[in-house]
Amino acid sequence: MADFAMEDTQNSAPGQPTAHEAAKLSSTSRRQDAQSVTKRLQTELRQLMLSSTPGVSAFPSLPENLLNWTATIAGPSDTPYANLIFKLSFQFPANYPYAPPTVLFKTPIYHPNVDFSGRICLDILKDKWSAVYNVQSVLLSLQSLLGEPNNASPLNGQAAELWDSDPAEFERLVLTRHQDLEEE
Amino acid sequence: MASEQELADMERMSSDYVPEITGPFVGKQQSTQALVAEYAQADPIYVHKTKALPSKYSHYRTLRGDGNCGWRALAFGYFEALLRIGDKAKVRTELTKLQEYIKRFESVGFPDYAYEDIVDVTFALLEQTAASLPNHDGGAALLAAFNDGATQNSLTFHFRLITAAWMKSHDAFYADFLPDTDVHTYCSTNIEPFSVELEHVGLQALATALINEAGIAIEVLYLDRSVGEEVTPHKFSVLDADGNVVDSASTIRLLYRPGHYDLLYKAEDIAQMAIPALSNPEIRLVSNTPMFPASATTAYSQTTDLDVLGDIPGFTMGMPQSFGSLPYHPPSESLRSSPQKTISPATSTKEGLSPSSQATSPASTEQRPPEPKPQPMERRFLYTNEQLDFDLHHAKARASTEPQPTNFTREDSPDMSKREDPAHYTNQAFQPQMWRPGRDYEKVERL
Repeated sequence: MADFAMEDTQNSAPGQPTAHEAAKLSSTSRRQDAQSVTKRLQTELRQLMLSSTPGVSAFPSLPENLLNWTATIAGPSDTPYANLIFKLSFQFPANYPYAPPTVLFKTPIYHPNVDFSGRICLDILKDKWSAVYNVQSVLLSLQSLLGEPNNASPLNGQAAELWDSDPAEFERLVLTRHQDLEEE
Repeated sequence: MASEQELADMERMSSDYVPEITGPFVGKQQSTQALVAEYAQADPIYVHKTKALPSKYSHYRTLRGDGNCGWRALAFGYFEALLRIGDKAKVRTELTKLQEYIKRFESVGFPDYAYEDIVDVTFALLEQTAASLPNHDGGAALLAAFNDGATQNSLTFHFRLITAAWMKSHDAFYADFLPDTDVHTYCSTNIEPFSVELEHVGLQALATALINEAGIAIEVLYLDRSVGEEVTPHKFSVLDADGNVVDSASTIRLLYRPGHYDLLYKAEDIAQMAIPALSNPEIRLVSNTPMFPASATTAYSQTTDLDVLGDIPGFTMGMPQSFGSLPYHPPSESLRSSPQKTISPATSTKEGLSPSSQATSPASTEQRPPEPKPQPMERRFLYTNEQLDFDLHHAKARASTEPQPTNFTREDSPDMSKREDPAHYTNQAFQPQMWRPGRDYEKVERL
């Protein structure tokens, strides 16, 4: 009988259920959860492929594991992130969509709400998560977060400060930090 | 740079900290005397209010305090009230209504992936509930479904969606309740997210959209520090066509303590739940093929005890605590495939307690799964003056999958042949309600 809904998966290492989680899982409901999470992710994948949204994309990292996706976001124009491409990883918990995916920036990014490990502070990936969101809506939210950071709760305090006080320096640091990842 | 990062990490960890949440998603019924005891040392206002509880509300259920408790309480209460009302046709009507309600999900713009799977879980449980009527299992299957992580997530989320869709399609009305925000924002921050607790507005919307509409009232009883000698009630009543309050409506009672909801019951609710339709003279053997077979057994094994039924006044049961040591006999195919199979009334009335009729009645033996030996003890260990259903196989499955520690010592633990001995029933001292395996087996051995 597993319930991860209340556990903050943001705190878990990606891909590694904690010992506590593992202990709480019974094999039966893990199977049930796995069925529903697989079905849901297949639906999402199908919809993403049928209606591609400009500026965002997502696909399972490996064909045999639907719980791990790689996604990309194009930096919105008119922001310091214009013309930059960011890679992200999605790790879906066994009780997705009742708990949010763990989303990390894989491409180094200088942003008030992203820390230096790529972890993101965004309410819909935490306590405001709802099963009405999906991979696509998360990506679109992240894309808009790039242009509209929430400087009230920064993970990168310096970035939050510079965003207002010194846009030029902010942009310089964005470009310094950004480096395209090698294709894996 | 690093220390900045460390600070950020620490801040994130502390702001993300969620205390560990334990307990069953929906607990078993227990006496409200437990609340009196819990608050005995508390503030006098609480002492007064909890002391006054048992005279009006005999029992309560705890809900896991994970931010979904109010929603889960309403969802469970809704199903439970339908079972209490006991009208198969009504449950089917509810099913149709909820199927129709999907149109509202579409019209307010919920993406289909958000609801298409979850509604099926609700529909299946309604089907199962309808199929179990007019006789039912006293809510055991519901309790099992609501204690399965995946199932209760789905049910709870469905109720959130029903509420959000209702508010969004009546946004002019609900805007007046929400001075600080608009209805859509409120729904996306307070109704749709998991683990955001039920608030008054959502409660009103769900009552209007579904629960009152189904002829079920909701009463919230506030146990807080407000002045008064009793819990403060707030009722969402069922209205008839003329707008008059229907006093007789079945009621979901929520016990609200700041930040948390539990379910509260009057003695009459319990009585209604414990007595399956008396007009039906047959006992139905509950099928071992519920909609949620896995959930039923896991939930039993992890969070509930069958003795929940024993808490119900007038509901008598001897539940061998040593059940874990009984061998598991897989249900026979005939039993598995015939959910409507019945035992003739003769074997199920008080006479059923007589060992001779139990052991010799051809009607009863022919209903039993072929087993190596007759095991009258196992066949029905639940006896009351009323005809009752009991899902023996849940208990068996539980016993087989998760042997419970027993309190038996070697000497008061009879071997299997003794346990199966129908002489139990000739024992004058045998009282199902009082039955404790150790003590009673000792008596048997003395005979």
